[in-house]
Amino acid sequence: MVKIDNILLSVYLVPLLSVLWVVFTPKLKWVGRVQIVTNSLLLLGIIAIIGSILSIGPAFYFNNLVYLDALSGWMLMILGIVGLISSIFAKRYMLSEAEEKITNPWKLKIFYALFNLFLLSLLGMVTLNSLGGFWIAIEASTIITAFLVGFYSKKEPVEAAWKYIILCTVGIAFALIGIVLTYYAVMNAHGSTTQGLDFSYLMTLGKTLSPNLIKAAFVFIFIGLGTKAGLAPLHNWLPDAYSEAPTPVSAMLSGVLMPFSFYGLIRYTLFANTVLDAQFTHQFFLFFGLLSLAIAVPFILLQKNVKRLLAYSSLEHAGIIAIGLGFGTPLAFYGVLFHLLNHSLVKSLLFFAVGNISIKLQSKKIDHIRSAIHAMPISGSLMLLGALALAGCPPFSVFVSEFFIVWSGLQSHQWVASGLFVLLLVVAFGGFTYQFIQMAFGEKPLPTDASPAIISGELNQSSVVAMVIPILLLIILTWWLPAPLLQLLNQSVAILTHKGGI
Amino acid sequence: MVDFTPFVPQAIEYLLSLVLVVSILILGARRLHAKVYLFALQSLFLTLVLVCHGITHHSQEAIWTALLILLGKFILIPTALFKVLDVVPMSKKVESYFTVPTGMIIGGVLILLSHYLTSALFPLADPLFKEVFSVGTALVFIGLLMMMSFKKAFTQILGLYVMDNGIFCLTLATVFEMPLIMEMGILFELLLGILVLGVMVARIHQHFDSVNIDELQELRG
Repeated sequence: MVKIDNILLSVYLVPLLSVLWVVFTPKLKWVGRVQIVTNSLLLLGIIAIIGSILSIGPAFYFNNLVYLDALSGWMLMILGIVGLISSIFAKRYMLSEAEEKITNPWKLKIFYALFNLFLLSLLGMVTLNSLGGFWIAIEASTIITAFLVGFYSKKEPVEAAWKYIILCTVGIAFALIGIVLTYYAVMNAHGSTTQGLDFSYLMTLGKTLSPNLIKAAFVFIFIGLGTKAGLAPLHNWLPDAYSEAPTPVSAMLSGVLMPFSFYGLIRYTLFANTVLDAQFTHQFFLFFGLLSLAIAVPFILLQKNVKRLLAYSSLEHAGIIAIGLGFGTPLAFYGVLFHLLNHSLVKSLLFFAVGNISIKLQSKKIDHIRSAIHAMPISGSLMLLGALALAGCPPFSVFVSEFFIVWSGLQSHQWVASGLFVLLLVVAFGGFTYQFIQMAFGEKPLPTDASPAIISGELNQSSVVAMVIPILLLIILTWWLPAPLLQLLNQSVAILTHKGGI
Repeated sequence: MVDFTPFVPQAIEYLLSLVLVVSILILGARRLHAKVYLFALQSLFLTLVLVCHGITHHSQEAIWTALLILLGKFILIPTALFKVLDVVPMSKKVESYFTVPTGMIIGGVLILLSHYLTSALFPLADPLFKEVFSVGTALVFIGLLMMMSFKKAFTQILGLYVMDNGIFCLTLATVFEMPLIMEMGILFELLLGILVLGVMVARIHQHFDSVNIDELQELRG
């Protein structure tokens, strides 16, 4: 029997060793394959960790530095799956010369080194017990991904990276003020302790803390982590960063970093709810969720750039998740956690499909992408299916999770919020499906002499594998959630409703 | 050994007013080099406040933290900023949306505002706490003002670091010392951040032939 401590340690070590290997290896051809192996090992480790969480329950490791419960297990699973498919997609994509011919081998090495460091910072975000540790990990992820967003040496990526790092750093600075205020509240009530910022310790304090301070701290932390999660009104970096980053990075940003920022927000809100009236935090989530949704919808309808269209859809889904958290019933939490997984799967699928198609048709403009299904039969049809899934069509699991969230809103008699929510969802559904049907089936533009004839076919096999895995999962999860996953999900919901808590 | 303890609160007050004067001067300085020197000076004064605090509380840990922060904010970060100024060819004059005096006046108004805000929030608190807290809030506001009003990418970085000094000041007022590991983590991030931002400034210059953020207009909608 291997001890969980060792598995945990190896989960941290795998990306770290991978960084070292990438930096020192002379075999550039192998870099992509080794990354797939790295991410597969990571997924295996995560499965082992989830197994232990299910069998022995929540537990501390490494002298209280790391705390694992069902909620962190659920998040780790998202990281494992999306990380693996992103690495499979990246293998050939990074070698293709579509975006930029990579002549300098160091450029490729830097990409993979940063990718692994990004994985490490993400692992830190969901496993560390301390609020301070979470802050350090999320700031590290900002610094690392800034380089990944600005990876291609062109005007637009550099601009996107600048906006991204400046806005997110300011946001995270606000979160730091919130953390300072939290620690102040703890110190006033219980004196200075080294464990004063540990989530597990904070949860035990409850009503002993000053509600006014925690209220102020919650507002600051909401602004900070909300910026990072991409909630309006501080979302301006999001469409730029998602659209200019290399495709596998866009998938990781939208599929992993966004849910992980919500994870921090959820953890803090759980603590804040022990001190404050839960109504206060719920209304915060509800308001900013609806605001994000309302801002995203017009941009979805009028968007001209396909990657920006996906980015605004991420804003929309961040809004949906926040609204679910705002409804705050067990059913809503179930829907939110399930939606985090579904959204990550479908968004990475769409980023891959759209990435492939825009390479093939040599444009990211929606007007130029026509009859994609003929140019690329597999990517095109998967793109269409993914778009339907993302918009919330049955039989994909996104429909199930969105339905749960809407239903919980109706059950808790939030008529106005639910009505607005459904209305905006329907408009977004229309805009989204219209845009994608145009791209998949629309009239081919007349061939001019300048544009070369497009030969039907896929770019490479690995990208097809990376797209088929998420669509299969999306369909399977609609009908059947495997027993361990269901148990994990139910335990996470129990944590969110303070029943299986610390 | 002379006992300095009675003089400490007075010393802190002087240091805090110096911090405020320096922050107005940062807004007023017309050359980028001067701004960096002033930032270093501001960090020095803030660290001295921490040292004073350490003396009154007889805390060794505070002195160590102060040394660490002095190394980071007084030596390493300004050095890195000067390096960026040397490497990236840009005009060293400051360009702003306001005239220099207007910027300084707005800074003064922000200081007053944060003073009243603190009095309103904590009417019964200890006067020293109120002073440190209001200076911290003022620095956060001034940092934000710098990020919004100056046109160069470089001055946005400086604004970010002034804002960070403000957060440091808030930490001093409220918790006096965070767990040391947290302090180290934050400092490490700041150092990494300066490297990243410096590289970004160089790349903006390379692609846009300018470091004015007005030029960053490729991405809309």
